[in-house]
This record gives sequence, C-alpha cells and structure tokens, in this order.
Amino acid sequence: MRVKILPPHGCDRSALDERSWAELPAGSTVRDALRLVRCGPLKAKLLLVSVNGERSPLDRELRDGDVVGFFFPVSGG
Amino acid sequence: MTSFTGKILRVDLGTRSAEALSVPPEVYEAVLAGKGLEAWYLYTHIPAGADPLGPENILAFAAGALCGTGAFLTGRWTVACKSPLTGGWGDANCGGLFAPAIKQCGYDAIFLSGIAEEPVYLFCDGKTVEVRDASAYWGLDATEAEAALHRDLDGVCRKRPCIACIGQAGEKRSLISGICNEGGRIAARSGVGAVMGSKKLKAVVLAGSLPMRCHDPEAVKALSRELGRKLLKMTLPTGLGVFIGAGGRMMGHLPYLPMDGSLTAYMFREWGTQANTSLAITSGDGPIRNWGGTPKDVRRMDAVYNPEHINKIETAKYHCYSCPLGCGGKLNIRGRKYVGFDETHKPEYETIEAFGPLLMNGSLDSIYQLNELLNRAGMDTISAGNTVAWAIECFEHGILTTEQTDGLALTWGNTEAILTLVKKMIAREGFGDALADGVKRASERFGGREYAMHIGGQEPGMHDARNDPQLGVHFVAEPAPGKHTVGMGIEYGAMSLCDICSWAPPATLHPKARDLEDTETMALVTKANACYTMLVDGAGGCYYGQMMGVHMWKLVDYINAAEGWHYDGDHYMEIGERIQTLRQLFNVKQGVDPASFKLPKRMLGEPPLPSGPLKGVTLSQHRGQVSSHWRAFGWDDRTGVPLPETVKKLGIDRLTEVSV
Repeated sequence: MRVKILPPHGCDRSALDERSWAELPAGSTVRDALRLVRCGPLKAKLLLVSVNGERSPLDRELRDGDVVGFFFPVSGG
Repeated sequence: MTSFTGKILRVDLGTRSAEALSVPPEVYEAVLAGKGLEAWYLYTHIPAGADPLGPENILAFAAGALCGTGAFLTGRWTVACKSPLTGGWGDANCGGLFAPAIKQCGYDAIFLSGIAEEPVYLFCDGKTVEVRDASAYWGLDATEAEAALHRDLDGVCRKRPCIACIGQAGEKRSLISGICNEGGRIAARSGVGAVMGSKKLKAVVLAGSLPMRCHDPEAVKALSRELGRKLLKMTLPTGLGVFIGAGGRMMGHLPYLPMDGSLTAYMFREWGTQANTSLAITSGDGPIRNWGGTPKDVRRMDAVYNPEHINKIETAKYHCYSCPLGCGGKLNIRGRKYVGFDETHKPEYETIEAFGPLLMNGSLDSIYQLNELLNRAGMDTISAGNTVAWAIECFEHGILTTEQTDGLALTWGNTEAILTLVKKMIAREGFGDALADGVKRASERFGGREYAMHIGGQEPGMHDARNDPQLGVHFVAEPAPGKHTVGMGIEYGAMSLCDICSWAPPATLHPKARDLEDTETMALVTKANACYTMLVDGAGGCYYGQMMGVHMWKLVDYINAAEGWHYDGDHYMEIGERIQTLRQLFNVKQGVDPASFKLPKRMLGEPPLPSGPLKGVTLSQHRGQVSSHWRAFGWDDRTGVPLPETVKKLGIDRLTEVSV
C-alpha cells in the first residue's frame, strides 16, 4: 500500500518518493512508517504524530492513501 | 441538479431598475461562481476606460459554488469591481452569513451599476427587489447602520436580513475603504467601499429564504462529517501560544519543509489569525518599521502580541456560515487604556502587524481601539497601517513637519499620535484627508516616494517577500496587486497540491535561499498556487480550508459531489487558470500595464537588511521569476498579456461571447 509521510526535520527521506509517498506492506502501523523515515517514537510523540489529521497511537494500522503528519509548527516560513 | 441558482440580479441604481437574468450552464462549468462569475461578467460588461467612481463601474457581490451545499468552509462572499486604487481589477472577500443570503434570494451574484441621486439601499427578499431611501442611515458607521437597519426591518421581514454596508470611509470615497457585514467584519481591499460610496449605496439588505440545493447532498455531508470529526478530535496541550515567538526565531533559519496542513486548523481554531503575530515578528515574515526594520528594533514585542494575551479577554467565539473552526471572536475591552468601546472583534493578524510592529507601536490596547475604529468606519487596516508608516518615516526624515501634520509629532511608536491620525483619516479631516486615499496618492502629493510601500497603487499585506520570494511574485503578478492571499511558499508546503494536480511540483525540503532563484519549477509552483486560490474563490472557499491541504479539505470531491461532475484535479486547476487569465485580461482591457506592478525597492532588499533572519537577502532574480510565472500561465513573458493561443486554449474567446 502507499502512504504519504511528512516527517519533521532531521529524518531520513530516502525511502520516500518526490511527492513524499512510500510503499509499505499491508498491515503496517504508524510505528512502521516512523521506522521507515528514522523518526524515533519519543520525537513522534512530542511532535504529536497524526494520521489524516487525527492524532494517532503508534500502533494504529495504516490504510492505503493515509497521510502521516506531525503537528510541527516550525518550517522555514 | 447543480448548486447554482442559474440566475444573477442586475440593478441600475441610476434608474432604480432591476432584472433577473439567466446564466447559461457553460459559464458555470467554465468559471464556477464567486470570483469566477464576477470575472466573466465584469470583463464583458465594464467598458474600457470606465471611471472607477463613475456610473459605468459595476459593483458585484457573489457567493461561491459550494455555498449552501453543506460543504464546510465555504461561506465566503466576494465583492469585485474596477478598483479606484489600482485602476484595474479589484476584489475583496469576507465571511459571515452574507454569502448564503445571496443564494437564498435566488441569485448567484448581484451586479450594481449606475449612481443613485440620493443615498439608497438595495432590498431583496427573494420575491421583491427594491432600491430604497437610505438617508436615515447615511453618516452612520457600518456597525450603527447595520443595527439601525435591523431595528427597522427585523419585524417587517419574514427572516432576519443579512446586511453588507459601508461606513464613513466608503461614504467619503476613501480609496482604501471596504464593505462590512456582521458588525464590522470587512471585505477590505481594492477600494471596494469607495465604489459603493460613489454609487450612494449605503447597504445591500438580503432577506430571502429560498432553499439552496446541490446534486448529492448526502455525499457532500459525508465529506463534511469526515472533516468535522477530525477537527473536533484535534486537541493540543493548552498554553502553547507562549512558545510561538520562539518558534518563529527557529523558522527564520530553517529550510522549508513539506508539512501536514492540518496544523493550521488547530492554530486558527485556538487563536484565530492573531496566532501569527509573534511568530511573524521573530521569523522575518512580518514587516517592522515600515518594512525597513529588523526584530532587533522591536525586542520583546513578540511577547506583547502573544496570542494568549488576546485569548484571555475573549468572551465568545464565532463562526462563519458552514465553518466548524470558528477563528473569529469577540473581546471584552471595557475600561482598557485608549478604548472607548466595550467590545471589539478579535483583531486579525494583519491589523495587529500593521498597527503594531510596522509602526513600532507596542500598545495592544491601542490596537483594540484602532481595530474597532477602522472596522466601524470600513477602512482597510492593511492600507491604513502602511500609509501611517509612510507618514511617520517622512516625518522622521523631515519631508513632513508639524506644519503639514496638523501639529502631530509623528514618531515611531507614538500611540497617541497614531490614534489621532487614524481618526483624522476616517473623518477626512486636515492632514488625514491626504492619507485617506492610500500611500501612493499621499506620496505623490508630499514626496517621500521611496518610503511609500505599494504595488501598483495598493499597499501590500503584512508578509515580507524577502522572507517568502513566492509571495513577492504574487504581489506583482496578481491582477489585484499587493494581495497576500494568493500564495506563499509555506502554504504550498502544507497543501500537497501535487496530489491532485499532475503538473504541480511536489513540495520539497529545501533551503530558503533556493526560492530566490528563477527556475521553471518555481514558476510552476507559483502558477499552481494562483490557480488553486482562484478555484477556491470560485467555490467560495475559505483560505484556512485551503491551507489545511487537499487531504484534509477535499475541494475536488466537494465540487464533484455538489455539481454531479466527475472531473479530476487537473480540470479544476484549469478553471482556476481561466479565472486568473480573465482577471488579467480585465486589466489589459482597462489599460493597466501588468509590467508596471513592481515591488518597492525596500522589499527587494535594496539595500539589504543589516541583521535578523532577512540579513543580506536581495531578490535579485525577482523580475525573472515574474516573467517565468507569466510564461507558465501562457502569458507574454515580457508584457504579462495573455497570449491569443492561451485565450483560445482556455475557451475564453467563446466564453466572453456568451451574453445574458
């Protein structure tokens, strides 16, 4: 399945395509997505990881088309 | 069935006559409603060279396509006309309840031409249309006029009417005046209030109760339920606002990052747009000292304008029509310094920035007073703040003296002088009269043009192009120049437009300096931003929905469900492209040279700032970026004029032959 991941600064984006989508096996969880971009669980919790705009536990199972994001107010704006 | 009523109302105020006209479906399919419908009508009906304050100018009020369908965040109404400020396309929009009121009278838009002999207001309840005497309301501020009209009409109408009206600024044809509703909420930009005042039209009163429909209301509701559930669940620890200023300090130095736009929903729900103030002060986004200062000049001011301070005196939140967020609020300001009112709307970011850091004014209490004064008068706080900033800088350099300023010592941060000057501008009294038409006219009269911050005659919104070069492109390439709502780099990074549009470049992690470069990718980014914003305007959408991103606020799905269409994102982006090209053609028809819109030297970084997050930044490739933006749109990259093949490709040649 394909999942969009919008990791915060300091993560590894090499597994993401140019539009920030990644292939994950069916049954993958938020934790698996975080592992893919090398985002530690503590950082993810601090930055309030969300799926499709909803704050989510790390063991939430992802579905095709989900967007994993962070409440991260600091970009280069 | 679609969401469109299929009708517009045309009113001639000179003859006091009105007629309802049917609009062919192909027009809606080409431009939706809202700003798109206005662009089509005004381009074809305002003659070239029309006096913006004369009878030939047409003032349009329109609801968007999705208004009344059950789609969330689609309650904006747009007013458009030939702008007296720029001489070209002018528009402004606002929330509240006025947009659905247009549709409940049975129309998608109302177009008013001519000039009334005496002050009038337009009354419409879905059955009758009348141009009525407004002499009893002329001279009242917008909030007083609205209250008086409610007092006189509420018992007479079957439904409590919705009212858009002008205050003293519009009556006195201040070129920086807007149109108000809901007790001082204002569609502020482009001098639309002056056009309404020139027509002697005090108010538009709508009391219809016709049903609003769409193709598949259940599908629309399902999308809204999904969005509403997410927004309700969205909670963060309280008190986070105190860290926003510190966040801004980091932002000023970090690279751009594609983000989850849903964060913006939380910020606007919790604090409103004022959440941005302390962040803007420290990050380089917000202008300081008439765009010539740095955060060093306003140390600790980010703490003064911390959003938690304002939230503490908020007594109630309010929502626009079909909005689950509620970014608006009422504040209890009784007994505060400088304040003569008991309550005011929660000031928007633009207002706080324009009368705070831009003027080096650290008094939050004075902002409340200025906010209420300007909202009631119906004067644009962005333009007014920029104009006062120019006056202060001219005073500093001896271009203005107390002889011209009626004895006012216009120094930075002089709160009393700022308040007095704004009151004079509203009343068009003494020196204030010269400033009531904006900074371009004032500087043409007194000098100090190097300190006059405007683009094509309109003062820029409170965001710095040196911090966001994409915004700099929109400031000058936008047919209504100086508007900050068309696109920004940080917004592009949050919207994921590449997931609905095949040609929109993906947002990437990249250093800010890269956005200073003139590249084909950058041109496609600014084009995508502008096209999507025009689509949102045609739908009557809220920019805060737009900022949440396409995965959160599913605009394409909403339109397909509401209209029974099955188009993809590329098709809808082309609608946006068509609307933007029509607006550009409007300017060309009216003799406005798109290449004459230029960023002020100061905003180009000439000379560069000596410190802070924007230290040393110069937009040396800005003109090239604008040319590339025009080329991406299929407009002449030297003149900005849409090419004949583009006009044909977008079907504008056929569209403009459709008559009503």
